[in-house]
Amino acid sequence: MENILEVKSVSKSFSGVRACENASLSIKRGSVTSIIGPNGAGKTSLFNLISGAISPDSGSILFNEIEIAKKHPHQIARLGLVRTFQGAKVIRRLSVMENILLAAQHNPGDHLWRVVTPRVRKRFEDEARERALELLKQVGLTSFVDSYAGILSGGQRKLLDLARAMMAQPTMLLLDEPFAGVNPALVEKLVEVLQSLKAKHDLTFLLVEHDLETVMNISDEVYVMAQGTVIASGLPNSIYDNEVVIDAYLGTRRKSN
Amino acid sequence: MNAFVQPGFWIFVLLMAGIYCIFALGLQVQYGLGGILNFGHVAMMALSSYTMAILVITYNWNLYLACFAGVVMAGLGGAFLGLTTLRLRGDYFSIVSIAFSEIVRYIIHNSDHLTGGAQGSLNIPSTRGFASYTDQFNKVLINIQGKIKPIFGSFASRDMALLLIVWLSAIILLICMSFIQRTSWARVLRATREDDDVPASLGKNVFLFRLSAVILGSVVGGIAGIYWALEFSILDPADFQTIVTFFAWMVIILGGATRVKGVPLGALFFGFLYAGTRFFQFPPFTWFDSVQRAYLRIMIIGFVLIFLMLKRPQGIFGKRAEMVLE
Ligand SMILES: Nc1ncnc2c1ncn2[C@@H]1O[C@H](COP(=O)(O)OP(=O)(O)O)[C@@H](O)[C@H]1O
Ligand SMILES: [Mg+2]
Repeated sequence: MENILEVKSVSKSFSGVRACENASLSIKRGSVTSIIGPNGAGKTSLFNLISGAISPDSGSILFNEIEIAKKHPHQIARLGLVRTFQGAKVIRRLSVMENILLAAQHNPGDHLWRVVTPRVRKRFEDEARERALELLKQVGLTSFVDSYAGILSGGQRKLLDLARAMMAQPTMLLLDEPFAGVNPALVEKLVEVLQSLKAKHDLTFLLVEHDLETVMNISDEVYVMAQGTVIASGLPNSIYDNEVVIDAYLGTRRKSN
Repeated sequence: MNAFVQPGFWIFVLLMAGIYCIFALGLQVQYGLGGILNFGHVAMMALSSYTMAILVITYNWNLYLACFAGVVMAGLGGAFLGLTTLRLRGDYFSIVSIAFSEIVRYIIHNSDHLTGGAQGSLNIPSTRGFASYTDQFNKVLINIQGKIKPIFGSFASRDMALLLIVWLSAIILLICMSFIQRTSWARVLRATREDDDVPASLGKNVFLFRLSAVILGSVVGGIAGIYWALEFSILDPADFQTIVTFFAWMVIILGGATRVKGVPLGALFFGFLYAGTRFFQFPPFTWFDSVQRAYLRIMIIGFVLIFLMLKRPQGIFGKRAEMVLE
């Protein structure tokens, strides 16, 4: 199977507001695909649909040929399709380490009865902790291991969010505006981290992004959304020259820049 | 002023503090870990104690089996409450949980042929002619009284014997709970206190975690109900009013909701506060009659709580950072 994710004419409206209309995507395994589009285009809604946070009014979503449109978020995550949230959500009153450990899959300690098998729990926790430290090192948050995540800056939260998603050992990652509001130096670092993760773990990325330059640099394929629908898709270069896209999105952006 | 100096009274206060400690431990798992606002916790005491009493009195069960069945019933009550309402938003769950405990009390109140109805457990149908469920247990207590006589002398009362059992159980449960709080199960619950989407996006079935917390808390609350029943030897539906749930809330707020360690301290503090306010036999309290004074006690406890919430939201013994960050 070449495509890891197939979104087929998915629609969703919120009491009259069409957030997504007949949106379709085909994501190649091992690729980096970006979705761009103006605010309110339905990008986050599409992520919510794919990750199961909301369920579509119509259409189908196949992940590794499994229909996931009606599944719950936790079921989809367990299949290896993990998302981050726009603006990065961390659990503020858990430590950075605890935030990451949350993502460990198949943790025996998640079952209440396992309180009676402390050895099994400890063995798993020790291994998980080691992996978590490795990830924290990769994103440069080692000095915050035991701090409450609530004290992290916006950029650091994005790094934590990314590391936490990686802890779940996904085969595909959905990143919602991972670079928005992050200072340029950190963006560079994030891109670096993403690329090293991709090389190391054979990951597929789908991201929503505003920063066109970064998008053009890292993407294998780009989708453009406006008013809930996909209006264009293709190689990054072809998008730049696409008339429809310039009208809907790039044109205004170029003017404003 | 007489009761003030009677050791028997203070033994009773300590004993009740122990029962409230166990009862509140059940709430602590739900609220302290999962942020679940259960205002119907008293239903679990009612379910366990009445189940136990009925099985012993009407069906001649062995007391210990009946106690076990009572606790299981409390767990089932928690499962029912959780399965039907935990999918609701947090505040709706709170409202429904109050309704649940009131419904349980109402059913007990109106099922004369099963529960004895408004007349309490004395009216539970019995084949032996008298409705008592403590016979078997009293022998144990008398036995213990004999053993502790050399140590406690004239204080070695029935209450003293039960006090030892209750606080021993409380300590064992405390240790169990603090083990549980160190599991990743508890970590996920602490995450759900803040946010559902994050744990769900990481593969956690948030509903199941909450449900298991409510069931666990209900089982612990059920254990408290058994001791309550054994202490008073009779049950009355009026024992299980919503105010009892709020007493347990006071305990965990006083103790600091996020720490298990705080619960026994909160229970002792509450026990003495509640009992101590009985002895306000000087002006301005003497301006009121005894019924008014009973309400005044609860008001004073309320003021102490409000003061605490303003000055120390983490409770007297709690950890501030986990309570007030942002
Ligand atoms: N939960 C919701 N309830 C109501 N309307 C929503 C909801 N989520 C998104 N929308 C609407 O759907 C449209 C698309 O929003 P969104 O997907 O967040 O766009 P984007 O991420 O591209 O900026 C917007 O008009 C937004 O107001
Ligand atoms: Mg968005």
